[in-house]
Amino acid sequence: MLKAPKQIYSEIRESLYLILRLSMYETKSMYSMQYLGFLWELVTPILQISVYWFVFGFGIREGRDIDGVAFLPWLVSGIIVWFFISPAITTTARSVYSRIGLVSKMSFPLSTIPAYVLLSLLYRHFGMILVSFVLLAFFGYYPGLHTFWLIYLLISAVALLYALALLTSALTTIIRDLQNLLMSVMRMMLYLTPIFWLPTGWVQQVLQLNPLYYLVEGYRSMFLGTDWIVENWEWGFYYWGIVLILFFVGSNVHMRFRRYFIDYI
Amino acid sequence: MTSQVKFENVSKRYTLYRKQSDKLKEIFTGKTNGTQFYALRNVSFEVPPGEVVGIIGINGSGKSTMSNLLADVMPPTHGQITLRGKTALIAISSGLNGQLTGMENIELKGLMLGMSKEQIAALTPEIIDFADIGEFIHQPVKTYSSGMKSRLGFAISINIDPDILVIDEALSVGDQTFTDKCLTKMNEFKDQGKTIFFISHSVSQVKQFCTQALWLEYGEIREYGPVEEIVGEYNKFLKWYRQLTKSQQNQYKESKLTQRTTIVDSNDLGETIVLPRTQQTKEMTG
Repeated sequence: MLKAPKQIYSEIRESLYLILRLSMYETKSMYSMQYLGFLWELVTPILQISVYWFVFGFGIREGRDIDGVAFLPWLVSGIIVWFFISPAITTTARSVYSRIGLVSKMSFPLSTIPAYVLLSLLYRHFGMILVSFVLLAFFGYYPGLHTFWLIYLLISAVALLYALALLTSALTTIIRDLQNLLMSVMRMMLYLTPIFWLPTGWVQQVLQLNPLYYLVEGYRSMFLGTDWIVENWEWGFYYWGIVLILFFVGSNVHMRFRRYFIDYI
Repeated sequence: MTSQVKFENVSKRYTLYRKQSDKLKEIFTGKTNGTQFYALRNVSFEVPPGEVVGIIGINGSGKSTMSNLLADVMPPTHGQITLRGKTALIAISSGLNGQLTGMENIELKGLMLGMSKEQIAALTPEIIDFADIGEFIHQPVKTYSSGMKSRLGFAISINIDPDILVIDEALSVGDQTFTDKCLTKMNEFKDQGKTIFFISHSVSQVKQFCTQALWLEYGEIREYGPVEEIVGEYNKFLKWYRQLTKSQQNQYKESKLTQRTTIVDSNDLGETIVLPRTQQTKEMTG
């Protein structure tokens, strides 16, 4: 049972250059038709944020702040990681079956497909983080020592998303409907993570079981310079436990069905 | 004498489901609910190095499945395939990415075939030269004509120095000059002692180019041997088949179909073993 995670790990390690190159081509073919290309990846979220701010901050909350933080910086610091997580989960889920036709050999390590698709999405996440730093600086939240948490958070996010992608990309190849289910779930998750509102009491306890909760609050704490990550260290352990379980299950499912992927398209 | 390609009791099975839900049931229970259909059934043969094998047969005889198995694109359901050296598949749908330029596709394809950065860099000029599509090499592949696409695909596959070359109906798209160029290149390969599989409907092309012929009929080998002999037999068969009435043809198909859906009694999981190329072929290729 431990063989599968080990093999995935060594495949990824040996294919780092391959993953890097393929992710660049992935990005390139995504933007090749557009004039503004990469810029759209920044413009769309900014437009979205302004609408959310208008509806939730201005409309529903009537301009009140959250925990002493004005709504707009509070929203931005939490939603930025969501703009990475949400497309990453849905795109990596269909990554294997939509690209297996390009793979010309059975010996090609299929575990690299979700990896390079994920990496290609990470580039625009970097762009968005930069924009957020600028935006938050206007509100008086400057980068500092706490910004180094970003490294930990990026590793955490990528680890979770890849482990999940191994599982979902294998299952989606066999059962396409899962793609639709995942999209609906992700749409709901947007409201079940502390992006627009901060849950309290038992609701908070339940919602925190979702590992994405940890990521959103972690990013927020990193951007705003609070101690949330340190104060919630036990949730950090919980998060990494989930990652390990997902990686274990995901790699076993992936290895089990790998040879049949080509038959399912 | 070591063989370059060896098929031992190779079968490729597809399950024909009536409902999508049957597929799901199979995954969870392991019991199949649909009709079993053998694209290839208990196929065994051996090809020594340096042979050019023409694979012939009417539509639906399993030629495409055979080319996919030979190119190591999919695993067999049962049996063992042993391939000595690198295989390259040349088919019309060459799996190029339309959004990317020709140059980028060369690298992408090279990476997908497991080549290193240096290997790809070394091969790129040769590929560009062989494809001979001029300035278009820097344009997105989606702007290419079908001829240009297949030329690029062909150029990539042929220049990765394969030991086994599988050509699946690819020559029918290019113009005469390009076809000639390909034939020259393939003859070169033949002289180097590489093994070529040539899958074609054109019996005359097979006769002209191949040394051996493998005649597939409804997923099984009907005959395998020297090309003259087999092609003669095949032509005779075609003549006989054509003079049958529609109902007689269907009757013939029907009788073969029952055999094709009969389950092969085997529990082994098929596999494709790729061995490193022999010293012998290495010397030959220089």
